[in-house]
Amino acid sequence: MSEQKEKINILVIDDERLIRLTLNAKLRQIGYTAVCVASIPEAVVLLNDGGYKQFKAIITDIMMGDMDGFVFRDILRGMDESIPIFFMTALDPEEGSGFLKRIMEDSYSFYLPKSIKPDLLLKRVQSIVASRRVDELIKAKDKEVMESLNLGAHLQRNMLPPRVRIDDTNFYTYWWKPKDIVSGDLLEVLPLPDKGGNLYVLGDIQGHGASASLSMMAVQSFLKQLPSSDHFAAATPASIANLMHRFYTSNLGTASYMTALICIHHPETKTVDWISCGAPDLYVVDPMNKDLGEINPEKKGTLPIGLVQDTVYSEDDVVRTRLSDTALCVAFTDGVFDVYKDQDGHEPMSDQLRINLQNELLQDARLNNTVVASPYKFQLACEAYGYPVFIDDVTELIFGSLTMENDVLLKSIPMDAAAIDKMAQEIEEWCFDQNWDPEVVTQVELVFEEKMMNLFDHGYDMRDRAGEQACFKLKKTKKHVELTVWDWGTQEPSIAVAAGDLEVELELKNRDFSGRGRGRLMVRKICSSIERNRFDTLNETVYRIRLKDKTENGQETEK
Amino acid sequence: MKQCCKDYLMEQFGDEDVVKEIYAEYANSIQEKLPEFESALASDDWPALDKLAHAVKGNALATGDTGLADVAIALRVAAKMSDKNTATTLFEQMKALAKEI
Repeated sequence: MSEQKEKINILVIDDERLIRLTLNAKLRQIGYTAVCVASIPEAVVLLNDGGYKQFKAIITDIMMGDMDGFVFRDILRGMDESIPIFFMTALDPEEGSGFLKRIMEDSYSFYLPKSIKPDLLLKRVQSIVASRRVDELIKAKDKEVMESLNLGAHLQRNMLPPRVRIDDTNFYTYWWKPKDIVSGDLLEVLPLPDKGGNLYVLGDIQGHGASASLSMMAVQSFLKQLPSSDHFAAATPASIANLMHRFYTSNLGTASYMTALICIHHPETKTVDWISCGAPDLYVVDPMNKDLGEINPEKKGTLPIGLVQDTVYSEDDVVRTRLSDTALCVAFTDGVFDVYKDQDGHEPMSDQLRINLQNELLQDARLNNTVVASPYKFQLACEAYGYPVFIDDVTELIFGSLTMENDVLLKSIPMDAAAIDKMAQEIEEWCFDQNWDPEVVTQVELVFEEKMMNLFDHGYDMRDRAGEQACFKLKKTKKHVELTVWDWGTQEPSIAVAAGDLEVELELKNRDFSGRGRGRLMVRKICSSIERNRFDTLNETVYRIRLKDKTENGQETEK
Repeated sequence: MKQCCKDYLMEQFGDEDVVKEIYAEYANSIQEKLPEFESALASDDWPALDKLAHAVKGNALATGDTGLADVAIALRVAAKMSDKNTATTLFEQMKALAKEI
């Protein structure tokens, strides 16, 4: 509908009846409808409660009674930041009252002299109203695009493998961080039948944004169906690369390509076979034994997938790396190299600093059994060294064999009520095997169940909960039992209860809620401290339960 | 109807009925303000005088009455300077011009 046919309402505010009359006549002449009021309070009544939406523009005098036009503008801008305001005034711009400057302080404020002729008024108001219409259309389109991208990001997240998996022989954890909303990085983890290991495919589609993310989804879908193939059991990194290359060139054309690192981890032989198709090499670190030698002495590496049509990946391109018991394999996309001090791309982080940071994080993680959180801490570590700007999608995958001290329990758990219940029983059995005090065992179980059920009930959107995981570590020190939980839910707010009020608060809750809502207060009562950290999307909560010490006469005191 | 106003308003609106309506309102607004001017002058209320002169200037410009608009501008200056003698003289001129409306 053209602007001439659409009803255009203009609000006119002037305390002079004559001015209201002449403006009404002028606006009527050009096909607009003037709604006239004599004061700002009257105008505000019309504009309140969404009333401003009926007007395409406002024409107002500046000097009116006790409230001038600029005070009115402040009120209006609280309702709408871009509705055009024309300040129609008899004030002389050369008078020195500075009103022109005040008008120009706002991007959507304009000056009109009171003597303006109708045709000029028409041109001015029309052009501003039309330009605002374009702004509105752009904003609406932008909102549509953002909603679409957010949905795309949601779908991408759901396509990725579970965030962590820990089983008896091996584990993995990963951090997947889009630069913007969607990512061109892909990661797939496929358990190998009969071998007890995993196939890892870490890819980086060329480019960014929607096109890269769509290619990512296509390749990820292709990879997910590989286990149904008869040949999957005998797959090698090279054979997987060839399958991916055929899929890519047949379906995604040659408009883009992807770099990929394809690894097959064999925990039983303590080896990892891998092929780099234009991607950064696999990085192996052993925090306990630093001297690992050169991982890829022959500098093997091949072309990216999809780059050259007739590329064939051979077994000669595959590297076999032997792993020590405490080795950790780290695979990352090249986004980890694109970390800078500022948005203009000045001062990239040096390779050596990046390696030092990662070594530091991994050593700490291995010593404290916190590898799950390690990749998520990388961004924080970069920021601490003055490199907060990541200009590319980043994915970091850590995998390896699980070597755990006997007195540490480390498990991943799906967000499922039955699994949580079963794990609580497992914890109880494990604690008793460790000869822990029954009272402490009960306390640990309570804290664990409360945390997990809270997470299950409130931590995730119900649509997303099914694919989500949490992870926990349980160990005993000299003075405490420590339960560390890692999850990817919403951040849990702290309970603001003053020291000494817990008993009262608990009693009140018992009375009022008949069992509901007491859990978090009970946890506060049981634990001597609760520490919460957040590393990007990962929450880390450390519950400490103080152990009691039995004196010679059998009396208990706290340690 | 003053010729300058008629010419101006006809050029703006091209409709005699509209022009008559506006001119009548103009005349009315000036007559209404004259007693307020007298009161402000008598009590040396210079801000009120300035505000009244500003309103008259706006109304005069909106109807093409440049003669009255010029007097209103000068009256504003006198009000800002608290110059009673000049303000009184200019008010007399304004009253004379108002009679022609």
